Amino acid sequence: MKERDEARLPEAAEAMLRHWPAPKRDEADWEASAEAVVNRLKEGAGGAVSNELLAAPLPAEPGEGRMPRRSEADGSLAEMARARLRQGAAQEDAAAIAKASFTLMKEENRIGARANTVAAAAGSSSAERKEDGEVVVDLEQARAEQARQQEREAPTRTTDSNTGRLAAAALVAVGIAAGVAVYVQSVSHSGSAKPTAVVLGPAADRAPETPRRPQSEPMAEDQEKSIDVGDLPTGEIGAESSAGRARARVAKRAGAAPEEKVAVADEPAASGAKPPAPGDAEDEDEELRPALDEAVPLEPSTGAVSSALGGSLGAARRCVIGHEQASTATVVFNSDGRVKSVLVSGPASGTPAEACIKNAFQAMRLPRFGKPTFTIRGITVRP
Amino acid sequence: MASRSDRELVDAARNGDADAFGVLVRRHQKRIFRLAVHLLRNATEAEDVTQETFMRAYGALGRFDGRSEPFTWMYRIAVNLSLNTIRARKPTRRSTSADDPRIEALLVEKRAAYADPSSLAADRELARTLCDALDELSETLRTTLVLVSIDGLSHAEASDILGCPEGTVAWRVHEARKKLRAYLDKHGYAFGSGDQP
Repeated sequence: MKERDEARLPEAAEAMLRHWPAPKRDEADWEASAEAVVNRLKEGAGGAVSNELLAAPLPAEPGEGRMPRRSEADGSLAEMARARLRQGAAQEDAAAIAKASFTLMKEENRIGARANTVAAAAGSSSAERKEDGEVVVDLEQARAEQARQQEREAPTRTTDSNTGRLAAAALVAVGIAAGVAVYVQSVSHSGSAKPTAVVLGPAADRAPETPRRPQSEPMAEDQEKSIDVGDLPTGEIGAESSAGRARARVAKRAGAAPEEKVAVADEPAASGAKPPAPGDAEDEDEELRPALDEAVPLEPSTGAVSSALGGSLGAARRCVIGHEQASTATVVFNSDGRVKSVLVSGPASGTPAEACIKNAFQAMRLPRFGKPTFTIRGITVRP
Repeated sequence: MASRSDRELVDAARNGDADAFGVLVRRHQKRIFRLAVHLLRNATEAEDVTQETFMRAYGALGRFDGRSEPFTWMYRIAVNLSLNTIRARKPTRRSTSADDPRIEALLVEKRAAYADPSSLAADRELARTLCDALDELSETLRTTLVLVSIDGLSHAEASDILGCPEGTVAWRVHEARKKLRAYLDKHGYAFGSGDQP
């Protein structure tokens, strides 16, 4: 936020930059200049052109070497973010998830010691299997094995019914912890090279019976709001989906209980959400949101507005080529940063140029902001 | 003729139709002139560069590969010619002169709207400071800022002209704006002060 404000100019200066006209010249002068050029060309006076004149001008500015090349980020800043997620961030995400998971393990310290034991047991049991590099833990089967083991050990146990129920609840918790432990181990050992996932079996729907966190740390309501399971990835957690990891990380930061994180794999049937189609720009933008939600400003910064305008004003201006006077546009954005409406006034209004200008500004995107809407008024579209 | 696209006009000009190229000249000369004024800070030199841009572009039509828009290609020639002109100059003044064509262009349209001379003077002072701030920027930052923030080109168009990634364009614009902001702050144009020093 501070970084954005550093680039914000006083409003009067912004207005001057945006609406800086060309020095005034009479139309007759312009026509005379054009005519002079054409006459010289007809006389065969086309200028000699060295290759240097057609080459890219200007040296690189100190500090810009760290910018991604065009091949990495062809297009908008969102594309750059996606490229970053796809390439570099996968390892960071894996590390962050591992770190968060260890933090979780500390929180669950009460059952942590037993979790390691059970994780070791689960590692050799039929409840864990490896499928194409994925570690899949079937908690239903793990529980069944635990139950069978309980039955075998029954004679040595107390028959007190309360104790039995507590033991069952503890076993469920241990099962979940075992899953997390296996997941953490597999992520930390495999890095991002090998996809690793924890997939819950149908028994996961009984997970809420497990205490989510110590009673002394109730989950704040606003934290709960920031975790929308419906928005989370609907596939398995794996290195293939770095955006999914980012979500899991956000959920973790927001204080989500372990069940919520693991439940990601089970959610699709319940929520009806569909996995995002590859290459679907809108869905990919949606994917990026949770990571950006951590600091949503009340309204977009001037720099963001200026950048968005810079991306569309050129296209809008080409709509009014041939017009004598400038037109004006007002653009209203929804809080998700997308354009809600475009109003065009001036000479372009009521002409085909109006639709052209609207199309140009519809493509504008701002970062998400807190207010319901945000309006940019008085955008001058000069010919 | 007026409804033909730039590419159609370029194709016609390649076949020797100088009048078709004349349409391109009429279509883009104002913007190229404004760009040149901002880069050169001299209206006469800007006129020369504008005409020269079209002459050179016509001469190089055979080398236009069509990967970019004709106008961004001509912009690149205009930027190169402007920079060549600047580099051929002797070291120039540091402070913006009172007859800077950029300031005149900015104020002449609004002159009738000023209710009192003091607001005109205040705007003139801000424009002068802004021009000084622009002149303090490196050629790279200033040219990128002029293309994007003043001329209203998209980052994609600016990246075509400057031959760098869009991310670099965005970074340069941000850096340039930060420097402008710092300069304006230093000269008393801070937020919350009515934009007045």
